[in-house]
Amino acid sequence: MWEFEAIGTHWQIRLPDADEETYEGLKSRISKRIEQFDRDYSRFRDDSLVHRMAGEPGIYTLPADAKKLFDLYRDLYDATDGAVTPLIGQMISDAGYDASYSFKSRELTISPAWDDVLEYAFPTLTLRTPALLDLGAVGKGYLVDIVADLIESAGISSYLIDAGGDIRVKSSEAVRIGLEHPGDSTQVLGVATLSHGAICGSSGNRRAWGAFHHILNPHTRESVREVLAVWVVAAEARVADGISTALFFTKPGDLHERLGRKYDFEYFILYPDYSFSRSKDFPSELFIEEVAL
Amino acid sequence: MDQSKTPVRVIAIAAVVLIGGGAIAYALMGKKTEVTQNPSPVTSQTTGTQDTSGTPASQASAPATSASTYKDGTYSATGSYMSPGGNEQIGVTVTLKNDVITSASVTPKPVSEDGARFQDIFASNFKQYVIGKDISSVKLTTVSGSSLTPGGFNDALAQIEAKAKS
Repeated sequence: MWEFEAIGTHWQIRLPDADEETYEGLKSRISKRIEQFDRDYSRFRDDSLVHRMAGEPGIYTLPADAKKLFDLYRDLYDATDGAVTPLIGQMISDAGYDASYSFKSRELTISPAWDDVLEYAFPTLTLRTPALLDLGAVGKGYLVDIVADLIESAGISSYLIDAGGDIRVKSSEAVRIGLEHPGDSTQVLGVATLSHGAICGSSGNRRAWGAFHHILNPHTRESVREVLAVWVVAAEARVADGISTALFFTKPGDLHERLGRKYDFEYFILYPDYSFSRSKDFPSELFIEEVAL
Repeated sequence: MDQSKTPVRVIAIAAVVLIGGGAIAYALMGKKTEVTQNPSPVTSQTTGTQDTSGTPASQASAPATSASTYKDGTYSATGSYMSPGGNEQIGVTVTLKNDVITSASVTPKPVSEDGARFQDIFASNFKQYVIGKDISSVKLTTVSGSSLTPGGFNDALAQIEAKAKS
């Protein structure tokens, strides 16, 4: 197992069938690829493309990998009535989750509407005014997919990639993935089993500070409290990641209807009292207690 | 879940839901043994079922202790009852561990409109919650945290808290 820290989280990559030479070659390619992704999209470093966009309006040529990222963002933006938006960056930063991790909040800047600020026509993104983008709702999952593609293109057909709980797996045997208890990391609430695909989780009480956690509603300027955590299973990690955030704002039935078959997903939504709802085919065993009302 | 080694069992399930004072009791009848949790006075009996055949939906991996009457696992059965409106069915799933029901749920399968209404009332008197189990007690490959918190974030927060206290 190969473990490292990148893009602010802990990674584990398991390639049980790879020989040493392939493994070493891949390690170097993956490290470089992650570094490039971070240099393009991080709002935490001052040499990134996102940082340049925050300082200067204009027409930007996006990196080649940006299409899948921004296409999904636009679809999620429309499906959640604007709640999932890359334009949340300034608000998250104002709330205190900024480049220097100050955790000092000031008055929150309201997020502008997409069409007021951005004009997206791949490969260009036009910013009418400077804007601090945050691509955190989809970015980590997308990077997991990119790493999976690198591994598959090396001819390896069995792998597990885990970027801080956003997981993509391909295995001849089903992998057992614990669903972490949001209030107690020594416990799990159930076990998901997956042999091919991705599972991503989002929770309100990790990455939390003061009155906020990292999922902010751009309309109310508050962190979402109605949902405690969400796990989503999909074929690709970027879809699972993005939809897990979208489900903090939009009901699963509505989301399914608005997104269509292009983004098939299964979900498990946990509410603050530990009641839950899940789709019929969410592939997991849950530890359930039955209480009479 | 390994379904291949789950034996087909015939169990008769009578689900008796007691509403009132938060009390709940299930009676599981088979081999003339009753398993009851929190026995308390019956305030309303919602359904009774006839003998039905049930197939275990899944089986816990831990073997049942020899003292148990029933093998640990999850069992599902469909019960029928005769209502004034005709024959009605309701699905019941229970999970047993050491002869104790650790969870139960009901799935309404009504035929008539009245049946639908009464079964909805029955089902809505349950609420399911998830509970935690120690990671060490569950066989896992990995854990999907809700974003296992990055080191930098935690360190920064800890420093701020320390400063705030000093």
